[in-house]
Amino acid sequence: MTMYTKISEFKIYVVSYLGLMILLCLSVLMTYLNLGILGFVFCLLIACLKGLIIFLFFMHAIKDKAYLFIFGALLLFLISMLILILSDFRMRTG
Amino acid sequence: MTSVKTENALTDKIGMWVFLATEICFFATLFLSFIIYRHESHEAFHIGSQHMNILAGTLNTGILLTSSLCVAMADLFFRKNNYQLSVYLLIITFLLGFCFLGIKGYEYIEHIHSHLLPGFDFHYAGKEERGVKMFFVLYLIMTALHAVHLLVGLIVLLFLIMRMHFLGQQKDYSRGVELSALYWHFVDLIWVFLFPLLYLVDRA
Repeated sequence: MTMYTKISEFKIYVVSYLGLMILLCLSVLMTYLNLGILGFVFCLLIACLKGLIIFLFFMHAIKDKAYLFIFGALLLFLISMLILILSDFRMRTG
Repeated sequence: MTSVKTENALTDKIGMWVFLATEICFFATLFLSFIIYRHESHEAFHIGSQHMNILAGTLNTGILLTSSLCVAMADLFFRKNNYQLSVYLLIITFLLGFCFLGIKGYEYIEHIHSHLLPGFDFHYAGKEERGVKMFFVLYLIMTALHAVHLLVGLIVLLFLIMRMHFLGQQKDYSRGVELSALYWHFVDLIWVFLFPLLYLVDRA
């Protein structure tokens, strides 16, 4: 039995939800602090963290490892496409 | 017979995940366009972002996150054979989704009144007009497409609620609840990235 199944799902959902709400407040508060480029990075990091919580706990990806592989492959594909497109864009615009 | 059922359930689930993966690719192109145009006209995107209603955006994010919790709970209680509670939670999810669309509609009306929604007499007299227009074009495309996805989710939820509540065919809908919950979480996931990009990052 994995750690995930030992803890009741109800508790996992509630804790995840509270975590998401705290992160939401944090990202909104961050906009009122003048952090420059760091603000952009923090906002996106918080968004990634929120996305990860939804993906792992609400969508049960943590239980079904096969889906982690599907999304790992998708993420790899998207990152490589992003790098290729951005490098092409930068080269064209100088 | 049981193994065929299990196999069918697995096929449905994998099918849903593959569908969601293609949807993520679809939205990723929009995010990429946003990042590229933001890189090109940073000042204009900063100006555009100042016109966003941060309170409405935050409220909408809270609503969607709460709806995600409700739909996850609905799935959990359905698996625990508590059908009635599951139906109630699906109804709450449906209402929260409806609230989200209402607030989004209010935001659109606000933008129309300030002549900031492309296609609805867009007029911006300040500097970086072209870039600001591009910000609002991307804002409209991304949020409208997200709203369409949410609307699809609402229709699916309504169908499930009607069948489960009025026809009493609860036991046949275990896969339906699970897959619609997955779809709903995906809609939430997309908004989690849309919100900071459109409302927050260029605000400071």
